[in-house]
Amino acid sequence: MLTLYGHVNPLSINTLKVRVALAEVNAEFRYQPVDLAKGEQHRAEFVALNPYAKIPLLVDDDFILAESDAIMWYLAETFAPARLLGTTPRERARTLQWCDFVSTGLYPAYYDLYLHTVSNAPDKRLPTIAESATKRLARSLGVLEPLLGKQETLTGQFSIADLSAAVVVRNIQDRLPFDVAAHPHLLAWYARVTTRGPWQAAMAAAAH
Amino acid sequence: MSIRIHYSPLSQHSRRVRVAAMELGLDIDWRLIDFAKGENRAAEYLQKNPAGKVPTLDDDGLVLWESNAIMAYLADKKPQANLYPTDARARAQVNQWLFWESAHFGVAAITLTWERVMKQAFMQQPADPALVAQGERDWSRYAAILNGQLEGREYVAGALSIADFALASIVVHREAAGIDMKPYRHLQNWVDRMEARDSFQKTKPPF
Repeated sequence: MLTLYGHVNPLSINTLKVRVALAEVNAEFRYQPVDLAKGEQHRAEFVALNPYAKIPLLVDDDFILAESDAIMWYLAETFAPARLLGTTPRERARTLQWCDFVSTGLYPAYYDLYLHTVSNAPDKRLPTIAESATKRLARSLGVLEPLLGKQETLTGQFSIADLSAAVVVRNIQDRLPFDVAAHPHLLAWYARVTTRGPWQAAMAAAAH
Repeated sequence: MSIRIHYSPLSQHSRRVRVAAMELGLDIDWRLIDFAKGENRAAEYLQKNPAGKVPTLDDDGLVLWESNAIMAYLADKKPQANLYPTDARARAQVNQWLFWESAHFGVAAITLTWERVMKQAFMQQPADPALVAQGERDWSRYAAILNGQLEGREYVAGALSIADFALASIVVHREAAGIDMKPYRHLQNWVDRMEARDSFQKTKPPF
């Protein structure tokens, strides 16, 4: 039986994508919320699992894995080998490329902008960082927009890379003073990803 | 046709790919991209890599970027080298450290390297104190994690893997960047071991 340790808010960005991936591979799991605000990630029983005190964390019997993208990859490899990663070395490399693009480009730009326009206390919001993050975010979305005008998904077939990118795009729309309306292909792709059954199921489960 | 890879000798992300290719014994057609001449912004190159970054791989029509993805692809050409294990759990652990490098550890090291070294060298701009402070905070947090992982382990995922190349390549400018290694003995010893390898020796940056 799998156990996922995740955020108390199951829609939190890195928790959500793992929950959608679990739904995509149709794996049963037990959900264990870890309340970061209460410092539960530093409790002995959690630190025994992950000395680095980070969520999400997947426990599969004696196998423990951190980092949301690595978890999604493992789930896809273990439960649905022919889907979500691609089957050939080329397809898999492409999947990894777009996961990396999100974790090195899109996500940090989103997160820096979120910190420095929304999340930090006003006196800790640094305009220089917000400005550079806005540019980096526009650049990342500028890479995605033409690609998604040409194809249905990031890699050409639905993969975990689409989930990685979609949860960030969800948060950009929900949380940032940043207008994505100028990216119609991106928005159409986002609608395709988020109307899939597993995404809908993960959202519905989170609402309970 | 041999695999072509566009790279820059100044780029830490290019270096890890060069290290991986060398460790795997792959024959690569290396193509230098001269940033000073704006070759990374040339239309032909941007068609391959829309972000205008290095490295970019071109293997008979497969165009691939993001250095960790390129290393993984190269390693899959020589599974017997076991630098990117094929077993699902062993691979998952290498992936965990690769993603951790790109999302956390690498970001902290790059921030300090960019602010304190590259920005001044290439753009004649001073370091931004706020970014340096953020980089310092993140570095001490992540260096402690990697140091803990390397205690009692020769390599980050147990056996040598592409995750070691990713993590070790990103701290090459640690002295100039003021990246503090002293509190992290296991991390320091591991970097020394990695940098003593032929592949690292042969790909030292020009400065």
